[in-house]
Amino acid sequence: MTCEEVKKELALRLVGLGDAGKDPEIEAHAKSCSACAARWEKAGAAARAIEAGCAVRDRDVEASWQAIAARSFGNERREARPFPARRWALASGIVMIFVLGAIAGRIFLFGPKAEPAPAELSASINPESSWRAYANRLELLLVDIGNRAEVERPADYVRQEKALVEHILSETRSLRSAFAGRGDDIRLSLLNEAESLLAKIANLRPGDVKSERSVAKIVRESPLKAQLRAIGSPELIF
Amino acid sequence: MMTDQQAIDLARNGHKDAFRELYERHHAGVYGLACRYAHSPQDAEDILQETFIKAFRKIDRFGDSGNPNFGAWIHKICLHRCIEYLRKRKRRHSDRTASLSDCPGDLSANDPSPEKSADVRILVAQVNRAFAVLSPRQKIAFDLKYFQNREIPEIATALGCSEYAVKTHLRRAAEKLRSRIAPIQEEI
Repeated sequence: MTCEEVKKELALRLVGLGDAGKDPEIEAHAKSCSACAARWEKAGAAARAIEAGCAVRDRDVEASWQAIAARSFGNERREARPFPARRWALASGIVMIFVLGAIAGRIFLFGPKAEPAPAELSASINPESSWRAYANRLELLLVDIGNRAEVERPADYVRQEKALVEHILSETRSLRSAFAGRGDDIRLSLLNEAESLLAKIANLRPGDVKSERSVAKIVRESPLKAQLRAIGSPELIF
Repeated sequence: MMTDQQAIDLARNGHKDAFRELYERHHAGVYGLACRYAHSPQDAEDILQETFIKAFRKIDRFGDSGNPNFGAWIHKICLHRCIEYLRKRKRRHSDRTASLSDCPGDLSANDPSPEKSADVRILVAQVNRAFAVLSPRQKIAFDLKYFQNREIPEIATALGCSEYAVKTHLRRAAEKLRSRIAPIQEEI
């Protein structure tokens, strides 16, 4: 056995991979090599030191038992581990993202489309082609309002009528903006009168019978329906 | 004198004295096992306490796996605690290799000369450095096999894995250690 072989074998022994069967060879070599004898001694000391590191130290057995018993059989249940702050932050962040996403989705995907401003609408519509449909709808509404019987109407009907009035009012304003640039004074005058009437109808309070009667009378006596027919020749569908 | 099984039966019925009896019988073995892998006596004590607390909480499940030996069962729990401990420690100290401070403090009893003590300390640090590259399971399997002379089926049962897995752990551990033998060889 050479010195290098002895060194390698001693190193392997320290990590548990040595061969105890080589003891006689190492011993024989160490007798004639003082350096390897010292190495063997050093490796033995290191092995003992490693083993000492694993040795059992004195400990307080009773204190250890008390700690175990307190945690195992304590009257109070073991407190739930607090949810770490970082996890709270992460969880609330995720929830916030979902909530904001849902709100944004509702607004931008499923929410009611905002009514375009009258100026924008007037720029986008063709006044001539819109007029006929508008005149038709307005006349229908005015006939309905003028002939309103003094009977109690269902809540749904009132709600739908109010929505229709507001829609036509908005249409009236858009058309007025559109015709204003064309200098069509007749239609502008008609539209102004229509707006005034529609505003009165829109401002009616539900259940205010007296005001309803008064507005119905104004509508019936208004020349607006006849003027609409004269100008636009609307196709009446009733 | 009651047997382990009798103590377990009483413990299952909530007798604290039976728990105490089981602790008295097995704490030394569990502590000895914990000391092999813990880096300080305090860490070993923590492993021991966690082992017994877990065993007492799961006492109803003792024997489910067909092993009626309480000693083997609690050693298995202890080994799993040790693996967890080594994993946590490895994560915490991933940037730090084994150092001279990991070497046991008192070498003077074996080597009276301070110079020799220092040499041995450096050599032990090199050995610790070689072992530091092993995974917790590799380290424990290797220790059980080559330093505690346990058989492979026994190690497999203790670690809760197959014999094939144990052989794989041992082979890979040996390869890693052989590849890091040069610094130790230089130090000898």
